[in-house]
Amino acid sequence: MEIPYIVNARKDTGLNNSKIAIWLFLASEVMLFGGLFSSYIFLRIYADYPWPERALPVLPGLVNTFILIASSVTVVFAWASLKLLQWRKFVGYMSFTLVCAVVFMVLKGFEYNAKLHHQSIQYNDWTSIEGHTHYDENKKADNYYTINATSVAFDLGSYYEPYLDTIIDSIGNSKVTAKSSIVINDFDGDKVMRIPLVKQGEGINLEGDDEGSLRYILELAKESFIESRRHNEQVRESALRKAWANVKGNDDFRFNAVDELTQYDKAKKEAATEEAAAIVESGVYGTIVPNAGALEVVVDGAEIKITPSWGKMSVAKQGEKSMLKLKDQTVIRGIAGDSGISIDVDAVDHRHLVMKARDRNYSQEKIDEMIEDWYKSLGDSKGAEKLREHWVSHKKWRELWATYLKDEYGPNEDGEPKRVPTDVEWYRVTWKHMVAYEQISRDKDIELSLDTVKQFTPGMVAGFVGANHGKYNPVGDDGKVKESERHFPVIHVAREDIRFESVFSPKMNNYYAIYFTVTGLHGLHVIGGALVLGYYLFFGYGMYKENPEWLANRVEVGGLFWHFVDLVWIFVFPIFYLM
Amino acid sequence: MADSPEAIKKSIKLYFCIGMLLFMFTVLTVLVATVPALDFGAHGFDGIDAIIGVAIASVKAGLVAFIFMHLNHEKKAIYWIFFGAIAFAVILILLFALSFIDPIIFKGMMPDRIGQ
Repeated sequence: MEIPYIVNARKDTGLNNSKIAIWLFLASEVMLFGGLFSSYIFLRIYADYPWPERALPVLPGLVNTFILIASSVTVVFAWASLKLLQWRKFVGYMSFTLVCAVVFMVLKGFEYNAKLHHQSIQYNDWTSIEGHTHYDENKKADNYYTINATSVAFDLGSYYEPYLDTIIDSIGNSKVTAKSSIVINDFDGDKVMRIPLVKQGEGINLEGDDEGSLRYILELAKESFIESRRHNEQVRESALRKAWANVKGNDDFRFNAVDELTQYDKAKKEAATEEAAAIVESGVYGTIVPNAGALEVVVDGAEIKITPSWGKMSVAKQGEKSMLKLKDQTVIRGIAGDSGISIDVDAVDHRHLVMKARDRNYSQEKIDEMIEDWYKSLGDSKGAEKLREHWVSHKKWRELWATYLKDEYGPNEDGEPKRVPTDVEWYRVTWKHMVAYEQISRDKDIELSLDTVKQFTPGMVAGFVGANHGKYNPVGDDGKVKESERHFPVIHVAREDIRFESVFSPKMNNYYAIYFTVTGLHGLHVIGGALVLGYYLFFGYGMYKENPEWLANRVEVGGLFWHFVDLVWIFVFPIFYLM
Repeated sequence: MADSPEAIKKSIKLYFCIGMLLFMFTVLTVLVATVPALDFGAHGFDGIDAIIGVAIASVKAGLVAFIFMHLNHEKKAIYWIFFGAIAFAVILILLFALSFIDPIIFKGMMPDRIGQ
């Protein structure tokens, strides 16, 4: 079928159809992104936490803006080349546009990667520390729920293999004993039999999957559970069918839907009771069989470490009686072990604490005292010591900065300084500051001043993807970071001190939720646009030979979409990266 | 629409100049946001900075829309479609302002930070 008006304009609109279509689509895109920007404004105005202002690295955003503008120019050049029947030029400009799209997405990938590998922990007093989860000697992130297990209850319907492996590995090569007997259903044609699987006090092998081993028992029980469930569904269904047939056959209810349903309900209950009673008597197919429940085994205090995303711990305070429930319904009971998180701190943020305190009309002295109390509560580890040193340096720096602003910009009409440091400057110790303070403290000859801090603060390029721990934590000959040379302090936070912990994902707060939504959606537009433009580049030559004007129209329409993607980014960059 | 080869050749120069202008405006946005001497209003980010930032972005967006997307010489139908959508988007963005006018709703919506 030939589509009309794709090269020549329609008389009534004066436009070809593809152009009308793309503009209608762009109009819907305006509404889509308009809605998202609107929600951004709303979230920001009503945020009940310090908004992460200018929190994203500027350089990748800036470079990406340049890239999109450049590609917008080349895509319009490509269109012009087609109009002038210069195929080679078109290939050149369009290829450049596609390279721009790829570079844009690669940069975006680096940016997202940095976010998703960056951890934030909020203390109960609302102070936040940020950084990277510390890797232990097994090169695993030190962020666990630890429990010294006294018993483990495996749900017989739904164990999950990786959880089971972890638990068995943790308990080690030993036998465990069953806390109670387990009876499962065995189906033989239409007969159901209850057979004992495990007796109370019986030893269960953790190793292997032979008869009598834990895996063997769980596998059998799981099969039985699935069979039982299928069987029970059939019993219920036949009871319901019977009930429905009874009601349907009754003429009294035919024209009254409400009555019919009430009667159906009643008949259903009766039928089910009748059926069940009949079946229990005869012991044949039809009874609703009970589930086997859970297999609980006694464990001799083995230490089990679980990634927090696998489940929930009832009490995480070390030494307290606790219960760990995993997502596959496995329940581990015992005494809570050290369930904290070790983190390489590269920023400390007191703003949320200050915001809460101001809401309660606390005095400035009280707020300062609360911050000092937090530093005292960190204990006497090396990392805590270093954080306290950084805080002393920061207080000195912010005083110098406040004096500088006062002297430079003078007072306003009320005699107050025209410019004062922002809350971010006053209450947030950034990783860049940490690098500077650490350098200054290492050299006894250097005094902390605005100039020296500026001198040792990493610049825009170093700040590309945040703190480079590899660079600032030099590795010794043995491949390990020397504790004494560590730039970023390591802190171990007990779980009960944590109000909230998250990587910088949409879970973190509304800012990151809307940031990922808008930039993610924009990224998908870049990919989509690049695919369409790529199609014209790689498969357009035939059309160019046949009807160059048609290809030019197509490129114009694809180009319009590409410009729109650029146009959205023109707003995304200042709003998300600079405000 | 510039359809004759001469007109297109002419407009290529224009596209290049607009591209350069967009680069310059981008640098200006970053400077306004990061250089203390160009920081209007109070120190750090505030309402004035937001207005300046969005204003520069709007100028850039206008250049892209009018020159690259040829909105400077389009047919009537497209103006209706596109600017109609923009008008609705702006109304949508401004709708939240209504919540400020209503004192009861506004008070109720402000989170009670104390005691949380």
